[in-house]
Amino acid sequence: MTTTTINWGDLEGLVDALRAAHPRVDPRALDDAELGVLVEGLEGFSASGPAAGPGDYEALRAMWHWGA
Amino acid sequence: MTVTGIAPPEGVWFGSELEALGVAGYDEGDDLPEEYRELITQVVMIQADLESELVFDSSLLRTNILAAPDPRGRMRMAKFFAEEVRHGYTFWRIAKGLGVELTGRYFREAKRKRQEAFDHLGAVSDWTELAIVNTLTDRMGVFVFKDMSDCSYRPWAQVSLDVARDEVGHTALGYANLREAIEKRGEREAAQRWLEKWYPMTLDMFGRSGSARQWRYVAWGIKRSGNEELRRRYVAEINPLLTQLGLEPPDYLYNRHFL
Repeated sequence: MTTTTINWGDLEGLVDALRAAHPRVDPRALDDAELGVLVEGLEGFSASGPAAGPGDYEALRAMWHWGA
Repeated sequence: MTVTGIAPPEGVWFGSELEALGVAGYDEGDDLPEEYRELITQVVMIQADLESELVFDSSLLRTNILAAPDPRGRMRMAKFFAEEVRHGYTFWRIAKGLGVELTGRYFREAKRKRQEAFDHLGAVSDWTELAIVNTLTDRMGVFVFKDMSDCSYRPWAQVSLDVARDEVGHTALGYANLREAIEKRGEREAAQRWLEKWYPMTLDMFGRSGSARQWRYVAWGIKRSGNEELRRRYVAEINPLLTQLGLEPPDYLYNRHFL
C-alpha cells in the first residue's frame, strides 16, 4: 500500500480521504483533538514534519465542510 | 484602564431568579415577568439587528459574495449566506413570538442605537478584510451562542446550538480564506492592518465587563457567563490561531471603547 505524507500546507488530498472514510461526520461538531484522532486513523496517510497547530485544524475543518 | 467583573455578585447564579419563582423556563406565548421579557427581547434583537436585515435587504450578500477573488470563493460565500439568511429568518420568527414585528422599514428607518461594528460590517468589500471579519466576529458568535445553549427561553435554546455550529463553519471559512490570502497572495501586512481595526471592535461586542445587566441575564438563566469571562476565553482561543499566521494580536485594551 502506498503511504501519503500529510502536508498541512496543502490539505486537499487529506480532506478527500477524510470525506471518503467518514461521509456522515460533520467536522464543525469536532474539536481539534477529535479531528486529530480521525487524521491519525486514516489508512495510507502518515504524519511527518512539524505537528499540526490549531490553525491547521481550523483550515482542515473549513475545507472539509465547505467543499473544494 | 483596568478590566474587572468576571464573577457574578453574591447571591446571583445561573437561573437564581427562576429558582426563586419555582420556574424551570419559558416557552413562546407564556406570561413572562416584565424584566425577563425585556432581557430576552434585547438578546433576540441584538442578533436580529445583525442578521435579520438580510431577509429584507440583500445588498450585503452581493457585496460580500462578489468580494471573493475566484468562483470557489463565491460559491462558498453563497453557501455561507444561505445559513446567515436562515438565521435571520429564525431570529425574525422568535422576535415575532415575543411580540416584536420586524419589517424592512424597521431596518431602514429605525434609529436604534447600534454598536459601531454593526455599521462597519455592511461596508466590507475587501476580501482580506472580510476574512478577518469572519475569523473574528463569527468566532465571537460561537462563544455567545454556545453560552445560551441551555437558555431558559426554550425557543432560543433550541436554535442556539444549531446557530453555534453554523458559526463554527463560518469562522473556519474566514480563517481558511485568511490563511490563503497571507500564504498565497502575500497579504500579511494588509491582514495585520484589518486585524488592528476589527480585533478591538470584536472584543467590545462582548459587552462591558462592569455591566450590571449581564448578571440579570445570568440570574434569569438566559446566559451562563458574564461578558468578561466569555471575552477572555475567546482571546485564549483566537490569539494562537492568529499568531500561527504570523499576525500579532493587538493588546487586550488597544482601541477599546466598551470596557
